[in-house]
Amino acid sequence: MSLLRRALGLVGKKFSTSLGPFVKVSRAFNKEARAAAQQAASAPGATAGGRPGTGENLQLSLEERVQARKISDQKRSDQLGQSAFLSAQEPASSWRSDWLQELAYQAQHGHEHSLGRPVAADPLLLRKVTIHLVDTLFECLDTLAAEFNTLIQHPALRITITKPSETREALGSHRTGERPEQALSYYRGRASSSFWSLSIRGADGLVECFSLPVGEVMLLAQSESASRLKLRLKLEEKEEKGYWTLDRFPVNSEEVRVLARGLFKELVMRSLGDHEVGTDTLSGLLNLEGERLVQAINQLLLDKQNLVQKIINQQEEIQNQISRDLHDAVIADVMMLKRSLSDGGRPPESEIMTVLDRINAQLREICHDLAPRDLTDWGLQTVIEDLLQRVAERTGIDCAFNCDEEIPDLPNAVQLHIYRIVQECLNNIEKYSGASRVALTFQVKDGTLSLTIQDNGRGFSLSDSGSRRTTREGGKGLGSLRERAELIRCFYPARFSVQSEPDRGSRVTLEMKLTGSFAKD
Amino acid sequence: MPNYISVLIVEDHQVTLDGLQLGLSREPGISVVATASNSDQALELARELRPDIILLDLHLPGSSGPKSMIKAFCAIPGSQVIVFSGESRMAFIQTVLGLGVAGYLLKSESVGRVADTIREVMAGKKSLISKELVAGETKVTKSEQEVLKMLARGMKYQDIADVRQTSPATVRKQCELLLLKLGLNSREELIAWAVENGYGGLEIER
Repeated sequence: MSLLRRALGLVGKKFSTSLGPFVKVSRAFNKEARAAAQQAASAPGATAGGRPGTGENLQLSLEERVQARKISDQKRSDQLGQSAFLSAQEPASSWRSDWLQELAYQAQHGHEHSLGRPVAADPLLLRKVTIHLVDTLFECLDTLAAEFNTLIQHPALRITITKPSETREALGSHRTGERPEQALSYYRGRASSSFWSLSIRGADGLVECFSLPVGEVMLLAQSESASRLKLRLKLEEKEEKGYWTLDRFPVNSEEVRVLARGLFKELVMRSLGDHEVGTDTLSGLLNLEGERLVQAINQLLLDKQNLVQKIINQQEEIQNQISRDLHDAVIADVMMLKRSLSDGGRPPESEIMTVLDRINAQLREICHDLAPRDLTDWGLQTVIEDLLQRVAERTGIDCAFNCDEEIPDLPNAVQLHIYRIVQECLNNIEKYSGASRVALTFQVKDGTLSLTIQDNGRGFSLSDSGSRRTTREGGKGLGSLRERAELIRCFYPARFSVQSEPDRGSRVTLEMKLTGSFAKD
Repeated sequence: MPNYISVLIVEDHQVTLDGLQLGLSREPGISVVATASNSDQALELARELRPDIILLDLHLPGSSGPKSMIKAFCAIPGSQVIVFSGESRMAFIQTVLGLGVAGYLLKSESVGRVADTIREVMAGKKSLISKELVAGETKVTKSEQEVLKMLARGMKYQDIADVRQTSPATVRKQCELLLLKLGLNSREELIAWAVENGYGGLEIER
C-alpha cells in the first residue's frame, strides 16, 4: 500500500506542473464537494431511473448538501456510527468516493496525512462501533467455518470459532503506543484449527488480527507480537464522518468480508502446512518452538512407528502369500508326482512331462510376480504385455493392450512403480470387479505419457473405496496405488486419478510429464 | 562360396554348447565355425567371421541387456540370427521376433530340429518358432477370439479396430501373435483358419 502511495506521490510530483488545474481542484476538496460527491453517489434512484436529467439530480444533491451542513454534533456522531458500523444502509458506491478521495488527496505532493480534520469521537460510540466491526468479522468467519467443516475430512483441520466477548486484561498487554499504563478492555474472539489460531481483538477504534500457534493461546498477551499481526483496522474519526481504514485507506463492509476471507484462508493454509509436517516436509519444524515442537516431533515419531508397522505387516502378508502360492501350486504337484513314481508303476513319460511343465510354469509365475527383473532387460511394454496375456489366459477376461508408440525408456524405479500399479489394478479387477473386458492403453502425446486401465466391471463408489476397502476386502485398495504415483513424482510431474461408479466400471489414469530427454542414463 | 552353412554358436552353458557343437557338426552341409560363451567375444567373432547363422542364447554374461545384444547381432550383414532359449512366454518371444531375428527355438528342441530350422532359414523362411510354442487353439485368449470372429466375417484391420475401440496397429500386432500361436504364415491363412474353425458363425460380443 505504502509503495503504491509512494509511486502515486511520484506521479503527482512529476505532473504537478502540467496538471495545475487538477491540483487546485483536488486541493479544493472541501466539505461541500465531498458531500456533493457523496450524495450523488449514494442516491440509488439516480441510475435506476425515475429521475431523468442531471440538473434535477444536481439540485437534489445540492439540497441535501445544504442539509448535510446543518447536521448538529449529535447527528454527526450518529452518521459516524452508521457508516463506521458498516451497516446495511451503507451506500453501495461509498467504496468508490471515500477511497478515491483519500487516494487523490494522498497522491498530491506534500499531503502526508489523510484527508479531513481528526475529531475525537464519543468513547461510548467508539466502543459500539469497534464491537460491531469485530462482530462483522466473526459473522463472516463463522459462516466460512461452518461450511468449510462440512467439506474437510481431516478433523484436525476443522475450524472452531470462539465467539468474541469482553475481556479485561491486566497490565502488560501492550497495545503499541497507546495508554500502556491502563488495564485494557478488549473485545476479542478466536478462530482455531488444531494447529493455528486466529485471534482478533478490538478496543477503542482499533481492531487487530493475529496468527498464533494454538499452544500459545493461553498467553495471548505475550503472543500477540507485532510480527504476528496480520491485519489492523483503524477507525478514522473525521469532522465529516468516520470510517474504518486499512493502512489509512477507507474500507467498506464488502472489503471487510474479503479481508475476513483472507484471514480464514491464511489460517487454513498455515494449519495445512503444519498438518503436513508429519508426512511431507520437515521444513515446518523450523518455525516451531516449545510445546508445538514437542508435539510435532511426537507426531513424527508416531508416523514413523506406523510406517514401520505397516512395512512389517506388508512383509508378513507377502510371506504368507508366497507360502500359500508355493503350497497350493507347487507342493501339491510335486507330491502327486512323487506318489505316482513311488507306487512302483511307471506313469507314462508324457504325463510326467506335463506335471513338470506345470510346476515349472507356476514357479516362474511366482518368481515373476515377486521380482519382475525382466523389466530392466525387456522394458515395460513387453513385460506388461506378458502380464496381460497371463491374466487373459488365467481368467478368460478380454484384455486389450493398446500401445502404438514405443514406451520411452524410463528410470528403473519408475518402470517398477508403473508395473506395480498395473499389476495391482489387474489384481483388483480380477478379484473384485467381475469385468469381462479390460483395456490398457499407453499413449505418448506432447511429452506426456499416459496410462489408462479401464474395465467394464461392477465398479465401486469412490467415497467408500479408501481405507474400508483395504481392510474388509483384503485388496490393497487405492491407497497403495496413490503411494506409488506419489513416488513417481520424485522423477516426473505425475497425476493419478481413479474414476468409478457402481455398475459403470472403473478407470484408472496415470499421467506423467516427461520433461527433457527420455534417456535412462 | 563354400557349399556348407557356417554357424556360430553363442551359449554360456558348457554342456549345451558341447552338445550343440557335436550334434550340428554331424549334420550334412552344416559347419560350426566358432563358439563363444559371452556376448562381447561372440560379437567380435561374428563381425570377423560373418557366419551364415548365429545361434544365440538369450541370457548371456556380457555388457548389455538381451534387447540391445540381439539388435547388435542382427545388425551384422550377411548373418541371420536364430535365438535358442528357455524363455517360453509369448510376449517376450514376440519382442525378440520384432527385433529382426529369423527364428526362435526353445532349448528343449532336439539337435535335428535345430539343424532343420537352420536350413529353413537359409532357404528364406522367417519367424520360425518351436513347434512347442505353437499352442493351437487352447491358448487363444478371449480378446483374440473376438478378433478371429471379425476376421472370419471378412472385416479389415480398420473395421476391427473401430469395433474394439483400438488402433489398426494394435489389431495387426494381435494378428501377428495369432499367427505365431497357430503356426500360420499369413493373414490369408489366418482368415481361412478362422472360417474353418467356425468363428464366422459366433456372436461378436457387445
